[in-house]
Amino acid sequence: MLVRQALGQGILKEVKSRQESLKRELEERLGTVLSGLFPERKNVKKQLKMLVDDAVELANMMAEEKALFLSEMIPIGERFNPVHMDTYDEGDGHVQLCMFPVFGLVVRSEGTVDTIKVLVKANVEIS
Amino acid sequence: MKCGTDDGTKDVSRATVRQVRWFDPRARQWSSVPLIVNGRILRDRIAHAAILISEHVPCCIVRFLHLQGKGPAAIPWSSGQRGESVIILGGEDFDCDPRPARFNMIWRKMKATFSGSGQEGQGDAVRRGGKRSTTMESGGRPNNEQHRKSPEVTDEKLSTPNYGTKGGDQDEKQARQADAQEAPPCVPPSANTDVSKYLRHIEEPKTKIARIETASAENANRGAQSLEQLKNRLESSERRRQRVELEFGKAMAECEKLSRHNIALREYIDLTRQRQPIYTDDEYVARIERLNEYTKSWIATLSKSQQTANVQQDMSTLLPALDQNNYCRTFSSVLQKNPNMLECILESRPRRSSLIRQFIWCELSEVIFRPFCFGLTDDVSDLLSRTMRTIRGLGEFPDVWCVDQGLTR
Repeated sequence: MLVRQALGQGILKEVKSRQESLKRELEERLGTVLSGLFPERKNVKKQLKMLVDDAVELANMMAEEKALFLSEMIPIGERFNPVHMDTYDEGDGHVQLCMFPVFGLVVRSEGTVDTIKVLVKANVEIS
Repeated sequence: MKCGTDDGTKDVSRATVRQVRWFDPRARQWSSVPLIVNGRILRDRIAHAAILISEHVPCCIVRFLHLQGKGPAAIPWSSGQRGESVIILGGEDFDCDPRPARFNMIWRKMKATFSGSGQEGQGDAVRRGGKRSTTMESGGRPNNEQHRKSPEVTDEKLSTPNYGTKGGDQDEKQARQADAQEAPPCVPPSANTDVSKYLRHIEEPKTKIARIETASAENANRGAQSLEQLKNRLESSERRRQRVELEFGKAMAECEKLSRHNIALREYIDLTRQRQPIYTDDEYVARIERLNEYTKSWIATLSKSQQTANVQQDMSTLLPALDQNNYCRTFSSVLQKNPNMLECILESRPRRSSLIRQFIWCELSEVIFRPFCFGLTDDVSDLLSRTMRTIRGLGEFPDVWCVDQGLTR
């Protein structure tokens, strides 16, 4: 974890200058799709920028942290698991849509296998 | 120890002994005892002074004057001239006669002199004897040389007064004889001798001028030497200053170099220091949930607005975008195989929103959260992730890791 943190902090110092252009690129790509889906809305890009900025800020915090974070989109067709999935649907089916990834921490103890500590469950729709 | 009058070398022809003064070399200071009280000379005081001195300092030479208008003018107290009486009580410093018998004899005489005769008696003694002092050096003292080496006595003659001894022992006689040999004879002042002395002091003008010239030359020479010394000192100071400046420059360069090195070391230490978590888990949970809620509400708001006219248009927009994303690629292929499924999703407003949220978070996850650090290229990110796994594997499960990787330790 120490190595991970040191590496993360060191690399972050180097790549922070590049992040702005990459953010604009991502906003552009998402904005194009969302503008196609919502042609009447004018403020899509503005809100998209806020979302991307918050997401990048969170990612940078995680990179500097003395922990190994996990962010996974649940693959389509996976069986519903309430441990790391959350849904409004009833039943015990398979994942049809994953609207928000699961965020967790990799917990490492010496001599044991890694375990995942779920911070926020994934939002899924099941069939 | 030396004792003398406070009159020193002043004109003491008409003076009386006002005080006995002595210099204590150990204490490095002068001390004195007054001998005149209410205009009268206290003889007891003289004796008392001698006793006092001898009590305080075992090795002492008490010396004082009996002047009473006797003797020429300007007789220094230490000159050993007429009018001076000296009592030597003995002492180890001057290696005076150590025999107690002799010491007691002198002490007895001294006491007899000051207590028995009076002031007039003293004066009489002086008058009778003229120069009537004897040096103790010749008074049977075996180590003459030591006495001469003593700094306190080399410039002075040690003499004892003639106390009018009647019997007189052998030592006293010898002392008197030696004194007569060593000390200059005390010649009574006469006109001839005074004139000759006076004339002797009158110098010829040429001699005087020559002497002044010599002195001037010596002074000039001394000044030149001093100037030369100053010049040398100035040059050496300049050289020293230049050397110091050079050393200072070197030291500053070294200091800058060390400072740079120090900064690098500090950065290294910062990197290697035991780090603590920056934020708590709750803070991360709050931030993540805020992102989720923001996306949810934003997309819900967007979905309430005017949407595209037909599903086909949505499909043409979404499918290529989903296809570009690794997470959604499988889903995209399923949708392409089953167009009805996508139609069903898009026709339902909530499900349409869900599909858009999925698309957004697939993109954010892949671009922002999946890499080792946002901003790295895929290659670098994968390399770092693999390196981290290797470090962890080798550090915690070296045997298992090496077997798994087909490596030998």
